Parts: sequence; structure tokens; C-alpha cells
Amino acid sequence: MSPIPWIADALVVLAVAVMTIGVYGLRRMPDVYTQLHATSKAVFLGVIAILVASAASGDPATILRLVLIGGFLLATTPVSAHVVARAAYRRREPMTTPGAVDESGRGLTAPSTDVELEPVRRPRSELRNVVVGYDGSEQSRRALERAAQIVAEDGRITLVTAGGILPSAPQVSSAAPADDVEERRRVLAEGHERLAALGIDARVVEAVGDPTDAIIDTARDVDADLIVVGTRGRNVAARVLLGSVSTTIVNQAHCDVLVVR
Amino acid sequence: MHTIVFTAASVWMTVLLAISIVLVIRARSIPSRILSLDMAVLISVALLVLVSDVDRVPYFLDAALVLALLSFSATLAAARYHEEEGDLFS
Repeated sequence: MSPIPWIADALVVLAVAVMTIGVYGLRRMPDVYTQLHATSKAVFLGVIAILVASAASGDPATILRLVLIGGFLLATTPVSAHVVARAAYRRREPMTTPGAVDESGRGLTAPSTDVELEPVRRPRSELRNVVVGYDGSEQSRRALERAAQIVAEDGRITLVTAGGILPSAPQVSSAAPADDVEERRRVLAEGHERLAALGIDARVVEAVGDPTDAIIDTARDVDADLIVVGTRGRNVAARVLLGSVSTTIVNQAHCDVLVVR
Repeated sequence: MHTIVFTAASVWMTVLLAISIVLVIRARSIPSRILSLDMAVLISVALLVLVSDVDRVPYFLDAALVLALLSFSATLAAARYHEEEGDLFS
């Protein structure tokens, strides 16, 4: 008696087991990124095993069709899995698997509560004197936070805000500049408060005119080790007219520049 | 023996297919739902192959082939649509 039917039966039993595990995996896995493993590996492997088992006892026409199905699945399953993963990633589907690491930095991992991560040991920083371009925008807030992370423990952060002459171009009202000054003071006070809350020695510099010049001049005055700026400030009109603040600073600064995204 | 194993396997595949359809309905997110549907189709393909083997009716294999082809384009279209929608409304 030929052993082929027995091999076919064994393959079918194996396939059933693997596919059951795959279905259980899809049920059990917490997010789509891990569920992908269940379908594109386990269930797919089971289908291939069934195709092989069926081909073992089939006639040539059957085998041809089975090979076609198998080859097609072999080509398309990775593509489908990739497309689904990409859609999930681009739509910022959260990663809820405990201990998941999101290397993209897009914040896909939820703040986990049930996993204890080792605290990151902060290397001793040599940066004692950091200048931050701060206008209260989201980007400048991030710049401020990053500066607070990397400044030395006994270091100092200088916040620079500027505006008034050139960037007020879109504001036609004559009352605007006064509001502008108020707004800048409020923004600076808020930034100072944030740093004080972190226990960091902060100074504020309020300048009139082009923010680029203000930041570069302040950095030279205080002999800064590092300038930290966001990618884009609040005033879009000024950026169109004058070019990006961060780009100009990168080109003109005397010290290192960190552009925070 | 051969027929018994294949018949039992196709019965179990039917159970898995039912479970995976429940998973499609209960999926927690849209990508997860697309994935569950893809898996349900994979299981259907396996089921069709098993049934075709047991009953000796080769045209079920054509159905399996077409199902595999259709499921690929369906997954592709659904995933791309889900992806593009974000670009339209954000």
C-alpha cells in the first residue's frame, strides 16, 4: 500500500490544527498589527498544507488547479497583509499590545499601565546654556519640551519670542501691536511657568522684529551651546515672506541647532 | 480512512468559517475587520478544496481559485479605501 494517502491525511490533520490556532490567534490578539501574524502565517500555512494534501491524490487537471491556487495565494497573501498593515498605520490605528514599541514616533502605542518599563537613564548632558525659539505654537512647545529633556541639570534655558515690525504685516488694525505685545508676554510667561514646573532655571527674552535675528543674537549674547527651534512658527504669512525661521537659523547660527519636529 | 479524515476536516473547516464570520462582525477596528474577512475567505478556499476532494467534483476548485482572486482585489480595495478616507477628511 502506497504511503501517499497517509501523508495526505497527516497533512490535513496538521492543517486543521494550524488553522484552528490561526483563528484563535485572530480572536486573541489585541490589535491588528499582531492579528496579521495569525492570518498571513498560520491560516495561510494551513491552506497550503490542504492544497498539497489534495494534490497528493489528485489527477493532473486537479493538481494544475491546486498549484494555481497555491501560487496565487503565495503571491497575494503577503501583499494583502502589507496593505492592511499600511492602512492601519496611516490611519494611526493604536498599538495596544503590551510592551509594543512604536519606532515611528507617531504615538501609536497607548500609555501602558500593565507593563513596567525600565526608566531611561538620562546621560549626563554638557548643554548648560540652551536658547529656545518660543512663540506658543504647538511646534515651539515641542521644542521647549525637547530642550528641557536635554539640558544639563544645572543648565539654563533662555526663551526667545519676537515679533512686531515685520510679521505684523497681515494685521491691518492699528490696535494690533499692543495686543501683540500682550500676547507675547503671556506666551513667554506660560513658557517660563512650564520650565519652572520642571525645575529648570529659565530666562526670557522679548525682542521686537524678526524672530530669526532675535534668536541668533540672543544665542550669541548668552554664548549658547545649543539653539532649539520648532519646524514652523505661528506666523505663516511671515514665513512665506521671509522664509523659514528654522532654515535661516540653521544657516546663520554660531552654535549647534536642533530643529524639533 | 482517507475520506473520513477529509470529511471530518471539512466539517471542522465549516466550524472555523462560522467562528471567523463572528470575528468579522465583532472586529474591534476596520483593518481588523478586513483582516478577519480575508481569513474567512482563506478558510472557504480550504473548505472548497476539501469538499472537492471528498466528493470528486473538480469544478469546486475553479470556485476556490476565483474566490482567492476576488478576495485579493477586495482586500486591496477595502484597505486602500480605508487608508484614503483619512486623507480626504483630515
